[in-house]
Amino acid sequence: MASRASFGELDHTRETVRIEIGWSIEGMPSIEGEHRFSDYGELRGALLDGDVLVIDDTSTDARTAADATAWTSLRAHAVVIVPVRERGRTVAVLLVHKDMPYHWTDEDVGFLRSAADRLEAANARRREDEQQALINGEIAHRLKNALSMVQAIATQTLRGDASPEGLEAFAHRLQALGHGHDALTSGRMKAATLNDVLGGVLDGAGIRDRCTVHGPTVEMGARAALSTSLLIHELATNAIKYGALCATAGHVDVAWQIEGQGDECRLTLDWSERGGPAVTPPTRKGFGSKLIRLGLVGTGGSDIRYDEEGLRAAFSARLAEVEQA
Amino acid sequence: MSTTDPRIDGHTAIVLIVEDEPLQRLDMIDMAERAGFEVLEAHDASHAVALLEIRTDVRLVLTDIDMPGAMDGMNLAAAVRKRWPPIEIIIITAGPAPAQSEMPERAVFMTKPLNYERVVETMKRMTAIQNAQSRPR
Repeated sequence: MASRASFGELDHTRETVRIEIGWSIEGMPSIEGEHRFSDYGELRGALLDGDVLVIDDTSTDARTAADATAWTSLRAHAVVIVPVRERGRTVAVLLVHKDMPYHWTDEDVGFLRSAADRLEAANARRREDEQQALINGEIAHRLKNALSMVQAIATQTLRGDASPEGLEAFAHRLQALGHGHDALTSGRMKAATLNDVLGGVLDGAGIRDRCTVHGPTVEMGARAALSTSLLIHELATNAIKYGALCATAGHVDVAWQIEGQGDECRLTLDWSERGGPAVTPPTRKGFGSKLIRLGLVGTGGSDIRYDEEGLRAAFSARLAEVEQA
Repeated sequence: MSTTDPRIDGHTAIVLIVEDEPLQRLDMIDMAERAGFEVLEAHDASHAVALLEIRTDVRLVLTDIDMPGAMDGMNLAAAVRKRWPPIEIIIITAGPAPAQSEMPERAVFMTKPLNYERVVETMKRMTAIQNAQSRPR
């Protein structure tokens, strides 16, 4: 029905519309670029007030007849302009042109109005997301700074009293939490992805190139992202100290998948080590083993086996719980 | 030459630590001194530049990015690379990592909270390379 449809942003100071994107049938001249309202007739009032402009024939309509040549040069003879509003201001316009006079029906106008409404909603959502990403970034920055302060205070307070190994383990867990916060804000989404969480922690431990990581995109809420960061950190530390990664040929496979459907969907993750020395269950159950037993979301669902070829750890959690903030 | 020895020409390698937050600065100084480095400290970028203008023996600058004042750590790093090309640079922050294109040549980025062992390892590697290059044949 239309010959050309475009979208343009309004510049209130210059009273112009900047048209960047659009669609047109063959033979229509391009209208990309900046256009002054006043070159096209009496449009300003309606545009700024947010009224839809419906013009059946630009050469006879009282609002545009005086500037009909400008419209003719664009081959726009029938025009609908729908303002897109944000916080009570027109921020953009949806423009639809026909290359000959045409009587726009109420259905035509209604359809275009609802299209503009959707653009408006999408616009608002995008701006909100951008705002949120900015805030998330600031929060992560402050949290990581606070973790850095905690690390400094702990190191300086406990240096004489705690073992160097204990202090080191503490600092490394703080760093793993830091990587979890990074993963929570690196995405454009409000959630972290399991891939980012794993990448951050494995990078932090310096073993990313010795691990094969494979699985679908899974979004994680804050609790799951942070407890999984700590969990993976413990597994990585153990692998480096006692497991497959203390041998040069050692390797770790990390694979995850989604099983089941609907509410019953579960995330299962397998950590399998190979190429290392024979492993035996630890004699002492320290904080590290507790962290591992807490699993992906902090509520359990872990199965640790000390196989001949290396440690195998399997974790499982309800997907809904993983995704929850 | 052992890569674990931070000494240069028989002297301890000198690092300049630039961090506005006093507790973290103190802890980083402690880390570097325990690893055998001699440490100079600055609380912002212009303080660091003033020190570099009078000291010709600094081998490495370890700087935070977010600091008050006209220059941040990225500006400082760029200035160091331009005015004192042989000095090695480690850039740290609790915020987002700088883009690769913003990083001065040879500079290394690390995120906070810092992995001290990794920082010390990097400092030793950087000063050991310099040492090897600066030794007469």
